[in-house]
Amino acid sequence: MEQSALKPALHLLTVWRIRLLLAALAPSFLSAYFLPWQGILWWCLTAGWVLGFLYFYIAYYPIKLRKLAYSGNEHCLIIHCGVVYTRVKAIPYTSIQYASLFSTPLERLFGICSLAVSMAGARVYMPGLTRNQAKGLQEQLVHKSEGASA
Amino acid sequence: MNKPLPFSRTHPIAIFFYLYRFLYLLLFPLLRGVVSVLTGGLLDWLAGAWMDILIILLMVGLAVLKWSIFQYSFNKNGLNYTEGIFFRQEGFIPMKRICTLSTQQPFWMVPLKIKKLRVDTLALSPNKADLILYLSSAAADQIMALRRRPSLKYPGKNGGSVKAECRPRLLDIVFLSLFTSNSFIGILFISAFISQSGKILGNHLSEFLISVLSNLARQLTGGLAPLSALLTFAFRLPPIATGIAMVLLGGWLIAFLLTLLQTQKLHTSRTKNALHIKGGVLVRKEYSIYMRDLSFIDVRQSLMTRCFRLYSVFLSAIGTGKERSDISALIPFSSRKRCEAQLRLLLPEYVLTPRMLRPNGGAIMKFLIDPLWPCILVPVLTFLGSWLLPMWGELIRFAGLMLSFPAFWFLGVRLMDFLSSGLSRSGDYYTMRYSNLYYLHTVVFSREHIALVNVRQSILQRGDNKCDLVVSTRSEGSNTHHIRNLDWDPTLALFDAVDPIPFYLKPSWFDALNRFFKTTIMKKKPSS
Repeated sequence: MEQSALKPALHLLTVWRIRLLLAALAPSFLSAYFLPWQGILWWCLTAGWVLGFLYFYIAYYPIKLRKLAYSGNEHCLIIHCGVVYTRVKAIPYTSIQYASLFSTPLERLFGICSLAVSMAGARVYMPGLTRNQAKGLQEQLVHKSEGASA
Repeated sequence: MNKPLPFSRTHPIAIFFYLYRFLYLLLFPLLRGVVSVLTGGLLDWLAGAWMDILIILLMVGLAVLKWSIFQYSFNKNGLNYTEGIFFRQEGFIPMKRICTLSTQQPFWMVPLKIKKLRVDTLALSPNKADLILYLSSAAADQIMALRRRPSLKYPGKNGGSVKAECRPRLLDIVFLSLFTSNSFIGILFISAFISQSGKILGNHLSEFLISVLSNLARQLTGGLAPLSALLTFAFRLPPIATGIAMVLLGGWLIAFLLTLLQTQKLHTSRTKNALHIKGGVLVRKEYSIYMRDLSFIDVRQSLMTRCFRLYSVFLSAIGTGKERSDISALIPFSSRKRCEAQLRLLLPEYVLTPRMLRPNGGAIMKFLIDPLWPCILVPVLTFLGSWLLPMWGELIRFAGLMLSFPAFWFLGVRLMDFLSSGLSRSGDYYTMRYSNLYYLHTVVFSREHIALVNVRQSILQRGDNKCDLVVSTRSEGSNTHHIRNLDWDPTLALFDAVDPIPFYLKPSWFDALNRFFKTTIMKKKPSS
């Protein structure tokens, strides 16, 4: 962690995009089923969800993935993230209580998972890690937090 | 004290508190009653009354069983306990893990010689104590004394000898109550009191209380006729506004008295590794907090107290501030000199250091933009409202005036925040100065109590490389401290959060443009 930064796997973008696709089904179904075909309301709702979909598909998620990176120094774990706001989250190793692995069916399909790092009063997620990366990071974090609090 | 004490039961009064947990069983008699009313079978209901009696007996039986099964043994190593009727639990909470051990004794428990002992650790709900025990006063005092024992091995030798003591003056506590009470809490208290009394003792009492209060209000209006007349005529307030003002004033008075009674007789003492706080009149409270579990101290000021240069110090620790009656003020109200002297005595580790990082002058609008909207909109809407609805003009003008006060007050607070906010570090201790709504905070915490440092930069802040800093401190719930518009790089450096390989931080187009500028335009200059 000290010497190299960890970038999330590219599959994460695919997972996010599939999730977005599934989420887009709801407004498309609503506009098709409940609103009069090509009426003004239909146009407004369709334009709204199509624009939203394109914004997230083309701009938001690629930028989010590009800016997401995990690294660390001798004092803390550092997470770079944010799209509109550029964020740096620093978590001192002393405050880490435990780290656990999470994976949704979609994530499992693409062989990735998330690492949730729990502190007293806060929790951060590190998505887009391969299982081996997450396991290794989990061990490192536990080791470092024990070393820091000893 | 080394060998574990025999297990003992809590005070039998606990049975009444356990009864609460089985109140849902009353649903069955209630349902039976409703069915009987709907079908009109009074005799059938009477014939089946044995079932209701059985259910009540079951409730009492379960409460007694729960009390009988709950047993504890407390020694200097920790608390052993067994509980649960169906799901039996045998637990041990090490003394090291108990962050706050506190006792409470409301006035009605004094003649019964009972105290409520609260055990709090970092785990479980942030809003509820991990374990509550109703004990005889002697047993509770004996347990509290365990934390003060000089022979206590953890966390250090002689951890129990008193190093410093502090008893604030009555005037300081009166000032604290005066400035921190707000009428809304008072009104909430009255309404909760009436509704709860209705629930507990039936609607008759509730109706009686309401009628008594109505009469009192009528008499007060009569008695306070000059005040009412002053508000109505001198300030040209409509009667409804006078009524609201009187209710707010009454609510504030009640809140003031409650705060005063909660904090009266405050006594704080410091041993090597723990802080002991005692106080309260209506509810007597005692807390023992390990220093390592003290999240932060908060020097809190309102706009008015900032103008009078008065300071009050609050503390945040795991297990404190969970109930409204909890004491959280360490130093109620003092001048700067006295406050610093008392802090040096009680908490010498927590030193307020001067600002190292502060927002730049150009960031003033970032501070003022939030209160500026209501400051502009409220007068404009008031003017428009009274112009469009002249019939309601008087009331609209009054409402506008009342709404303008908090808006301009907020503006004042933010202006003060802009002038005073900042960040500093001295050794392992950080001092953050910021505002949250109507209060100005100066918070001091140690490095080991930081849970998460969140540094964020908006698009507008990228130009001059500024950022907002949000620090979450370690506690059961979330406690965040937010400073606006600090320099990005020194902020990261101050929290040791500088990334060794920040190659992904800068956008590639920026790098490309920069490279292009340096390699082409800058290189061409000398040759031309």
